[in-house]
Amino acid sequence: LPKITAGTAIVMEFVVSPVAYIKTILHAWKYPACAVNGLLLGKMVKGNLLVEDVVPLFHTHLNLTPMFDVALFQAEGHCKAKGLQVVGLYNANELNTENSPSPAAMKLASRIQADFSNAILWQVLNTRIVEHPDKIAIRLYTMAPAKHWEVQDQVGPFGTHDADAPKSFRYTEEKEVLERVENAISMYKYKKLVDWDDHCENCALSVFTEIEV
Amino acid sequence: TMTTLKELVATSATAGSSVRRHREVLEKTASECLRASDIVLSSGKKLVTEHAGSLGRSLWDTHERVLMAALDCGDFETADKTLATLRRKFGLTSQRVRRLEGMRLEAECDYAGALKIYKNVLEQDPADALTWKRTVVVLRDCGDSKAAIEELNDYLKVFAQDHEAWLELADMYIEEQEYNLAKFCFEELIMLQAPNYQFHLRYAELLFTIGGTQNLELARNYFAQALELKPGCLRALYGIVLVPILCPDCRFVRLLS
Repeated sequence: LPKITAGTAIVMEFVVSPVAYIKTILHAWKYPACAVNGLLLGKMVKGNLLVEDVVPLFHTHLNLTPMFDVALFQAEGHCKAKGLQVVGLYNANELNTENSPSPAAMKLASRIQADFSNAILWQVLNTRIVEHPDKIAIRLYTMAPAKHWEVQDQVGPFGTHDADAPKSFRYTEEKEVLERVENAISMYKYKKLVDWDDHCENCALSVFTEIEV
Repeated sequence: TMTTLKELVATSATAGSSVRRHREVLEKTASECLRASDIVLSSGKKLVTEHAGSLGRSLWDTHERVLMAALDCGDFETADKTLATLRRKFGLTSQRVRRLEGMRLEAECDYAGALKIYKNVLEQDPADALTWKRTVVVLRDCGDSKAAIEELNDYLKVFAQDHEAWLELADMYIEEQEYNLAKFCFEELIMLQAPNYQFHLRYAELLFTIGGTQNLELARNYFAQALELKPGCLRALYGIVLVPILCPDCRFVRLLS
């Protein structure tokens, strides 16, 4: 179903699976001194976009493209097996005060959008990555008809796909998601997170490793 | 590196860990240039507070490392205590202590204060490379990347062999999407340290990013060179395979067909 935009009002839900959100935050937490980015994996469900999982990519030299291309190839293979698609990009900047997507991040997200018209961009808000989070630390951007990335008011709702549930989503409270983030950090779950750079250092590690959060 | 880090973390966390293990943590993180500030802080602090005698001549170096690790982790209590100890030992006029005071201000985001200290130190000793580089870092932290790049270029005119500085400059250029200028930095790095596979690898990735058939062909050469310098280098292998896929009219495909 195509996205219906009336002015800047978007008649489409962007549902976020808690696992996808938590993994994003853990990636940023694991490399506090670096910019990090990663792919968003998901699917359309009854005209709404569900982000089900993420693939952490880089924490060094995010703007260089060859490894990004390889990662895209591999992610697409992984997606086919799981019935998902690459639906967007998440990006965290190096400077604590930089809360807008970098030009390179927007470029990469636009590349993804060229293949998937409802692609989104998550910008991580660095100052909200704390040990005891009380606010959601990402900002959602969608592609406006004029071909620039436009910020949306809110991220979420949070939820997972459930074919039997009304609207096909089983929603999760924001509070619960934040608690799970706090738990994951305190239990050092981020040490188990593998990103593409880690995989290149040691190919026994896979970016598609599942983490229990 | 992943397994060693695991062992190091386990060591730091264990209450009964011996002095030797804590020293191992500090040595490994130093020799492998790991920024594992959490374990450096816990092991280092243990050593300087409870086993200072065992450190011998590296006592004060360890204090400095604990201070920097504490700043990295936001543990200002430990940082201030350590800074006070160093001040008492080396005096307020010590250049090295003053640089650490600057870093303490940086950690609090008091960039103006830090710059003041660094400028002062450089007035008295213009060849203090470490302090000069800290001014570059402060400018970068302020978000003034143009000034940081300019300052670092001035630094490199004097200290042209500092490969850490060339890497930092390349990093800044890549962030600004000035890939041709970043290329120049890596060319300098390859000249300085030709056997280092990482520079060939990044150079290849840069050429790839800039794009165009000729650049992609050259990138593949550098990926191959990186692979030769580091057998099994995964990034290089990916690069070698990727070029013919994305560039069907490159000479490697023509040679194969």
